[in-house]
Amino acid sequence: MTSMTASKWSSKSLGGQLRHQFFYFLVRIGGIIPPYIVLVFVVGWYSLLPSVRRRSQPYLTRRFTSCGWLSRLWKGFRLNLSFGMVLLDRIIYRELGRGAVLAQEEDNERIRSLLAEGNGLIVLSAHVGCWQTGIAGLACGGVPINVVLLQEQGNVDLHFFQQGSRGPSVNVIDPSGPFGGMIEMLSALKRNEIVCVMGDRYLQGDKNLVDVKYFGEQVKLPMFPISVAAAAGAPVAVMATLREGACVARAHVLDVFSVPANVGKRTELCRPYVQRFATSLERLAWMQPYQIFNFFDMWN
Amino acid sequence: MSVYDKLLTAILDELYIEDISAETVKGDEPLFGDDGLGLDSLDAVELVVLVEKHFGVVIENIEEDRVAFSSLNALAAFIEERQA
Repeated sequence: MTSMTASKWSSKSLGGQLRHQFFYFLVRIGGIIPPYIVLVFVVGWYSLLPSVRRRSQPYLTRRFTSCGWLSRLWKGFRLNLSFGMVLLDRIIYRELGRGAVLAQEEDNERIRSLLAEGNGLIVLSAHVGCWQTGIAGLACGGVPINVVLLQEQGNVDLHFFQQGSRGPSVNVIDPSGPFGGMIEMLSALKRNEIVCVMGDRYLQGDKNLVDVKYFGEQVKLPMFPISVAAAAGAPVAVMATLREGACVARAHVLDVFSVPANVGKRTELCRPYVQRFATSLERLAWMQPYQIFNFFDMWN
Repeated sequence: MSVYDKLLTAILDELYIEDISAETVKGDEPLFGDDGLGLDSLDAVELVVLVEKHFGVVIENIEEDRVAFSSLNALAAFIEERQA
């Protein structure tokens, strides 16, 4: 899971703006099929690069414990291709308006009932599947959506939300802003809005981290989503939007829980909830191994 | 009990600040950062809730109300002004 540092994975390193622009261009002139064909070759070439291979190894070696280097190379390619397709889906969704985020009616009903409590809703997600289009496509009856996203230069995720995602309007909360954007999050929840946060990402220098188990080993995850939920009395929905096919994704509610008000920023009280989130992610990784985009050694 | 005293007591009790006593706190020291009470962004969330719970004052726009978080004196003055 990622720390927002220049040397580690960030949205800025998803091939860079220029290569993104190339695919935007390709979608505009070629429609849907040609960009996917080009993508296979681009990803194939990238997947051979040692620097690219290294990024997925920490995750792949834990997820596929007994496979040789050739098999791991193939799995790395599949993971990178899956990631590329997610990005391409997003471009097509934005440029051509093609695509859909589906959800089980049961999950939609859960979201509606959580919002009916009147304390807002924290959607706790991760770098899994089509998380950006999942946020943009949240079906929540016109309830405003806020997404916590670092407003760094060249952030393509930010670009996606700022340039219009064809979904409901999304307000971006900058975690590098005053008080880490926490009060803005709290205010949004008080207005009974949705606040989407990535629970697998923390800002460099964030001291409010908690150790939890992920694939049997310790990782550090931020505890702010739990503390903010406790302060606002907001329920937490752990969600993932998984790719099902070309430009089609399905949102899943993986877990729902409430956090007692007294949790505050006490590590020991926050840990069980953060662990619950990590366990949901790990379970997902066993079911959908090529939709977990951990291009970073979160265990080290 | 003055707003200042009530605020200080609530902060020390509810934000679980154990290594600082009320007598050593100076009202003009910064609330956040390495000096003064040394609060961080998660404490800011707790502080907003605390101010609303104890004084009925809502802090919503952090850009406008940011000055209130500069020190204990500033926050007490802000609460008194909003209550007036």
